[in-house]
Amino acid sequence: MKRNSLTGSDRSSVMGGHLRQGPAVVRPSMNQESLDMMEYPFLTMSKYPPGFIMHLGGTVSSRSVKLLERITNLEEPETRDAWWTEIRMEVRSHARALGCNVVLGYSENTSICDDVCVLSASGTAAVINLQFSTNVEQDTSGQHLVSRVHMHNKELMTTSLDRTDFEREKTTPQKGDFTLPFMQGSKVRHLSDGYELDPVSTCSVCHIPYSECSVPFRVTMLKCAICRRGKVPDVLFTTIELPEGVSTTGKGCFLQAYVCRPKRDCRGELNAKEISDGLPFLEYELHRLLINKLKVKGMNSIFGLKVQVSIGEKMLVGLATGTAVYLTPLPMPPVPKVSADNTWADDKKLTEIQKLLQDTVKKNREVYQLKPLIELEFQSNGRIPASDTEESDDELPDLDLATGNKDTCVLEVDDAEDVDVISLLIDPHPPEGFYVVNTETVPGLDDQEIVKNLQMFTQVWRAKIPTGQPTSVFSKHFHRLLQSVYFKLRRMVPCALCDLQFGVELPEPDELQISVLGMALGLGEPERPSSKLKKKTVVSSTSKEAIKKADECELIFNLDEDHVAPENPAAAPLQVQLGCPRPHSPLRIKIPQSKPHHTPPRERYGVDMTPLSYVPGGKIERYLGNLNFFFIRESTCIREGGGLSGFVHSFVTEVLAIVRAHVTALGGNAMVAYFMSECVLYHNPHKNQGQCLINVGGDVVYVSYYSED
Amino acid sequence: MFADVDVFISNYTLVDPEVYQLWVDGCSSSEAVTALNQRGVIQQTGATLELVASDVLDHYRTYSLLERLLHNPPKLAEQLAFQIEPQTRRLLIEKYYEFDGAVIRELLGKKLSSRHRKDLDEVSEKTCVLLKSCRRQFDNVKRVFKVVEDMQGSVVQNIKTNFLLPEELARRYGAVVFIACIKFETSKKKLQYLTFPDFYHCAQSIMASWTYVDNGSPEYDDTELDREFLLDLRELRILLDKEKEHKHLVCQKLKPQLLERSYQELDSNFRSYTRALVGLACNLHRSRELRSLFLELVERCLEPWRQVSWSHTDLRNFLSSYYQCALEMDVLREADLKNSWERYMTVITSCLLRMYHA
Repeated sequence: MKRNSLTGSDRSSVMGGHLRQGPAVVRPSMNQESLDMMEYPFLTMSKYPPGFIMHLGGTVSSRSVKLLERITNLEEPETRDAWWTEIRMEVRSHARALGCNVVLGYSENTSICDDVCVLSASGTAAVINLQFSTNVEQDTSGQHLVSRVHMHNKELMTTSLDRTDFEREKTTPQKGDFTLPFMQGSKVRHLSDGYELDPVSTCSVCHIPYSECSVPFRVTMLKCAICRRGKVPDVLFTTIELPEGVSTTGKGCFLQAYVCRPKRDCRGELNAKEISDGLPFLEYELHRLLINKLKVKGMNSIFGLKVQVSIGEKMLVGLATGTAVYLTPLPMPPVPKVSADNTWADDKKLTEIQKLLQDTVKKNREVYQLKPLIELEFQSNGRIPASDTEESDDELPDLDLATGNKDTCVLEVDDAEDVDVISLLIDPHPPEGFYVVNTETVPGLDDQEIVKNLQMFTQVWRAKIPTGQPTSVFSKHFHRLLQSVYFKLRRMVPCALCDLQFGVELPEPDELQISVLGMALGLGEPERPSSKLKKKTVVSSTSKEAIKKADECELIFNLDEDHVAPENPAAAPLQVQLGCPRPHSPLRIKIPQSKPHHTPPRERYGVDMTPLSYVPGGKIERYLGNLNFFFIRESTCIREGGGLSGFVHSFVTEVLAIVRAHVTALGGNAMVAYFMSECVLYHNPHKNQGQCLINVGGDVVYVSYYSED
Repeated sequence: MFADVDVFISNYTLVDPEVYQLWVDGCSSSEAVTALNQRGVIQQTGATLELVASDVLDHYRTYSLLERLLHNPPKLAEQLAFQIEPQTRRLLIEKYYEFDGAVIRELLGKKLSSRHRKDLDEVSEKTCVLLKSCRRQFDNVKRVFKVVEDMQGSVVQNIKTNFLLPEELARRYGAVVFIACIKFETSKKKLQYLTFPDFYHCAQSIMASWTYVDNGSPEYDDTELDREFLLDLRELRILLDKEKEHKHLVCQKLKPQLLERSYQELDSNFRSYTRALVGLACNLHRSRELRSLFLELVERCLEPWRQVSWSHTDLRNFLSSYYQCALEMDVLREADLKNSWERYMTVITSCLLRMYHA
């Protein structure tokens, strides 16, 4: 997460490979033009049109611990401005160190306990295509060397941010479908664009934006599994949504890691120091957990990563949530290996743990349909295709994905607590019919499609927890919360739970409060032309996806090396189809036409609220404004009103009612991007009193639903 | 571990039909959890008992917040606090106003006062329905009665518009209101064998034939009996004068259908039967007689027949011939009188046939 000592000096070398033509490559000039005008090139959005993001560098973050007491004049905001400036500058320099020109999906937040405040900022360092929106006119008129990449870009011009706004205001009807292709979140992959126009674009996003040799310490870099040209990292963490057009294998899934670190109960500067000293360990531990959990899932990247640090009087809590995805260009992660030094005598136990881990990874690969590209190729051709680049010889060993790089994921088991940690890595799967992620769509959901909104839900849980307990006790609560969501929504399957947002607070020394907000979406049959449907019955879409890629590799292969036995290009994919085994996923087999599924809505009753940016089955006709409310409720009859639960229940219900009323008053029928950022609850049982503060908001919209056709 | 706060709130109010039914039935939250557990929820879903308990508590909290609104169903559609989809709203109202015949049977003929509300534990004991549910049913009946009691127009229609109940349920409430309005005697010991469906059937046929005819005027009210009709019934006394003729016709008609023994019995007892039936008609204009209609029917008609152990078919045959033969007589040639006889006998036949059971 925190990558602070990378220097991105030689920028052009990475780029050269796949953006050969066109002025887009000349990056220094673009930097001067527009990005330098921005003090901080930070974008808070997490979704971008295809082609906008050129490379992803990874998550960058910065934290700082401050004493609030120090501010003499509370009305004077300069001090705090300076704090944020510090942090932003650090984030900016992290991004630059990674050879990136912007930070995407940027967010800032704080956690306060007494007079100590932890400020955090994080985002995803990336290289964006600056030609994207500004240089269209020049391109169309002056350039005669119009590359395919450029045609691609030009087409995308219509989707650029400024233009879209423009056109939406003019409401040109024929543009309607075209202007917002990335808003229709249900379609993650447009098979047509990307593949045909620019065969490399499905992987170039994953290529590192800095030169490998400039990295001062040992980092695992491999050749891209798709184009075999660019270098890719072994894992990629980002805070943004999965960019459209990037090729993935299998399905994505929800991933969560939590760390609880006890700390001494002290005041003032001592307290700040205590927290400051503990934070790096907390972050390291969180990172380690994420990496290991990701490997147990058999995946290699995290999207929508959110890290929350909460400080309490006696503990520090770190919570990281994200959506794990298998990015095809990145190597398949190895199975974590358990090791122990001599003090751990019980060899048998060790083997057991190793076996448990291996079985879990195997199971996960099956459930999420993770088949690495290389395996598919191997099965179809009976041989591992030779790499096509000049340095192909020394690359081959690296492609041995299952055996290499073990040193990056060795779990040390030295005492009983470590065994505990390993059990933490293994999460239970959601029940059948549930697909859980914290992004806006479910990556790799091919056989089904999100067709309608079902329910936005809010869950608040709070209990006393004895301090000094191991993290495993802690994780039980998170599992329980998810379990209760599954239980509540059990009648709604098949359903996707998207944009799950967790919040952790430590309101009292021995109390933990967790809030969850999410959206349940109904899944139905995807609408596809009949010809494609027929094809679907033969080959599952996951493998179809892979075939396309395999096909591409074949293409490059054929072009570059002449000695390959001439294959009928038309027959080649067919061969692959036949040779490719169907993934043995229980999920896929169990969804024939007869299974219950949701159908797109004709209309929606009342006011629909969703934390997502889109409304499946509907079209956002108008944006009518942003709402942001703080509500405070106080009660002096908590017991009579059904206890603290009853108090919170009726308050949250009322808050939702007020928001819905405001939506209606503005002429809207839905709220998108709904959030609940604060839920502060104070309680004095002796006085029978309680206070609650809630901050909610979102964008009011008018949605129209498609009629019969 | 005991959670201080554990709530789940959704944008559209979630109603679990199973949990809602348990709540309506008056189960406490822990009883509901036990019931769900016995039905195998845990086996089906793999959830823990604690999760089921937390779910039930969530639902119970929502329902108790909704209960106030359920007292005035049209408000449920207007209110903004809960966003409830129309089909869910219908379910909420319908189940909340659903009642047990056994409980309502106990309430019939009683004054719907708070004094009686306290005695509901006896009703609960007798009917094996939980006290909470008895209270809900009592309150529902009282509420419906208070609202539509003095309203003009069709009582069923009024209940439908004011409580948004489905037709069938509204009819059942209509019968209860009607019985309460006329203050029919229903709780005498001899009437104890009659169930709510019996009274519902009788009330329905009385409302259909003896109340003012719906002529579209706003004063029309089917909870009041047609006074003129009841007064006209006095004229039927003439049938007693022509008793011999009537008996002759009836016996002649029934001879082929009856066993010899029954025929003999009818022949000797016809006089007392016709006196009971016609006598009842003549006295119905007195409100005291009207109130004890069911008691009279049992004491003066059903009991003698039961003693001589008539079958249900015998009774049907007798009543139909008794009615038909009177129409053939000269004394009923006058259209008004004929009409009164028809109106009277349709209801009485229907009631007697329904009430003739053990």
